Amino acid sequence: MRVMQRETSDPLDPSLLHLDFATFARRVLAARGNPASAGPASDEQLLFFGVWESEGTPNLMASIGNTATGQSSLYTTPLDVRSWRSLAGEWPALLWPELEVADRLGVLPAGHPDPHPLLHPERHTLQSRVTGAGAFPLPLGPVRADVTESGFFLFDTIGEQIMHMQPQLYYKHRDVERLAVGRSMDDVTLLAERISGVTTAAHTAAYASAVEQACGWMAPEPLRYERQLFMELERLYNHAHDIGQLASAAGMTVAHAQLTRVKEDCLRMAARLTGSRYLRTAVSPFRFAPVDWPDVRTWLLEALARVDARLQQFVSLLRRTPTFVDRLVGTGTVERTWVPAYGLVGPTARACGFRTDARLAYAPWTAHAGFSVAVAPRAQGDALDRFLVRVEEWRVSVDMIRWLVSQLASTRPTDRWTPPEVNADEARGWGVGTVEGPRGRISHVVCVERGRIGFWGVRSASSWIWPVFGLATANGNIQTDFPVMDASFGLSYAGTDR
Amino acid sequence: MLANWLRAGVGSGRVTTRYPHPTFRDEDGCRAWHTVAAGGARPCLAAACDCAQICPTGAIRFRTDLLPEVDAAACIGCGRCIEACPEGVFAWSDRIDQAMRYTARAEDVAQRDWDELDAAAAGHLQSVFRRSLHVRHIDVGSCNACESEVLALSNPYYNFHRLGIFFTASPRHADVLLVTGALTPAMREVLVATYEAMPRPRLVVAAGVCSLHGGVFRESAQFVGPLDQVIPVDVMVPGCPPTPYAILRGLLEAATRREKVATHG
Repeated sequence: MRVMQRETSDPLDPSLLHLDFATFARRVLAARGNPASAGPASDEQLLFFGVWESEGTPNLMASIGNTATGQSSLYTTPLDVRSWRSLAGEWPALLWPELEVADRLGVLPAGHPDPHPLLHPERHTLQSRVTGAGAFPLPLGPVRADVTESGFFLFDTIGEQIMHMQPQLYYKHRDVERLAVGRSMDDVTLLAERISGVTTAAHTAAYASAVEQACGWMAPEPLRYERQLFMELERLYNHAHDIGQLASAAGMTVAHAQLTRVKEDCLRMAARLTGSRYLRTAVSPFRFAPVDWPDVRTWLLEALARVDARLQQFVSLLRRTPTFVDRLVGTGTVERTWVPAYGLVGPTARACGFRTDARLAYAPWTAHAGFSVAVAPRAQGDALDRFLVRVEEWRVSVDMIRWLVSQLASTRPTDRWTPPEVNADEARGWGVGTVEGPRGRISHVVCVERGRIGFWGVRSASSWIWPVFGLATANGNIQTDFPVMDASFGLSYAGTDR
Repeated sequence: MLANWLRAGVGSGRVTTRYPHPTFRDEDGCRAWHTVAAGGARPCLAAACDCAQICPTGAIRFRTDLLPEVDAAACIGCGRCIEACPEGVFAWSDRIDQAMRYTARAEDVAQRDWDELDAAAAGHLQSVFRRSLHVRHIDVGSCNACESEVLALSNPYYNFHRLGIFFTASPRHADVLLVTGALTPAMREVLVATYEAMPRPRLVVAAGVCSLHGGVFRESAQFVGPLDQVIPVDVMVPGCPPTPYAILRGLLEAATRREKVATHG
């Protein structure tokens, strides 16, 4: 039995810092980026913002990640509900996280710019915000055409033009985080797999690294490789799905059919690797997946080459088809200033030209595996840029899987199968895990108490992006473009509602 | 450009499954997909261990003859029983298309539309609808894996259109309501409104452990209850998520249910 000692270069255990509200607010607001620059103006990122109920008293909790060092800090402040002041007026990224806290506690922060119930849509009816001649409210959802997740959109239109759009989510709020409290680390893995069913590997990898950090254990290199490989495979099928949905929204039926075929091929690769099409049970704390890497290497590389060729063939056709490209140009544009203002992440932020990617900051070793940030060269932030970013990320992920499987296949099985020695009954501590999922940065904050989960906070990528979805939809677009915008964002409802 | 698309599309070849044709075999190793656990054919004699407790959703029961049974409607396919059992009495089910007719459990809330019909009316409706089935899907609180599998039905591998099955945008055009997810309070009213909007007689297919049992979300304060406590269910499709084959089987079962009603009226 070996216990990996933490090395100096590895992220330090974030110690939980108890602050007064003013200092807490200053620390959180310091993580705002600079609207003027496309680079990371600040080294700090807000990874998590929520409420931690400790012994009956509520505390605000925030996790701030440092992109230069890859370390994460945890700050908390006792929440005096009578004097709770909203920070969302100063930083819109906090609009929804503050409303979530407000709904959990039943108290609104003073000065919140847009107070309304968020977690319980059945208690709230969105009001139309456009009045005057020709103004027409158009409700859409929660049950709408095609097979989609449940969410509601209220459009205010004048003619075809979308003047304003408000998304209403949380129809699928299952209270996953609170369900975890008091459960064993392994039982919570099952919940982490089902926060967003198509982001299983990324959520479980973030959860596992948070738990391992809380227990003072550092995942050995092959384990990190293995998890990264699963996450890249997950990115492949998600990107194939999103590009396929985009092709479908633009009426490209052949491309849609072929890209759904690519997605199915990727799901079958996942099933052949792990038994599960959605990579369930592939990632769990302290454990390797039962995959014989030297054995799978040959067929995995062959299958990868086949799906890559098919995707490239149809993407290159799409890029040369004017009726497709025209639908995407200038559609659902995300303004550059929104990226720092709302703390946007993932392909949505990179389509605006921002070099932000959790792999860059929290898994810098991936540079050896062929990782490079995919930033849209046009940096217009429209549907075309989000499409181009996904296409480039597909290529990067294919390269990374090739490298990772070669590394894993050359590791002797005995090295990989050493189980860690963790005394679960005594394990305690806080941990933060951050990974780059298909839609962007995913962070988990975990408190382990005597081997059980005492607190679990989850921020999925889509939860940062949803608040600008309405803004981008009403950014000079017409109703007919909505399917294109919807598909080009490709946001997750389940991951946000959780 | 159109010629390029035609060439690329036609040139990509056929991959469509033969399912549910009798000649369907193991395509691309699909028999090895982990779906649900199944109890073995032999009794477990090691009474000392606690596999019934190991199961996170309480799907394992022992019959009086110590033969272990796994309730497929509650199994999330985590594989813990298979991993833990020293006797090896559990195994992955090799049925990749498991779907069952609904059997009433605690309380059967409402009568099915089909039960109210006489044989002549059911037979007439069946002949009208026999060749096609229009499906309205509703997500009442899922993790999105079920939606991904439902969507897969229209990809070239499964291509459910060849069987005359189609998605429809409006519940008013739907024969079948396909429900996925763990029902939340916010979706309860929406679900009932969607069901009420459908023309009678209606069919309901509950797909996935969340809609049948609650799965990992069963203990959540936000979980209303299994679907059959809110609307009548005709066919149950187990799995977390169910495979596309299982969802297809569930829809086909729903279609044949009508025939049974018609003949036994």
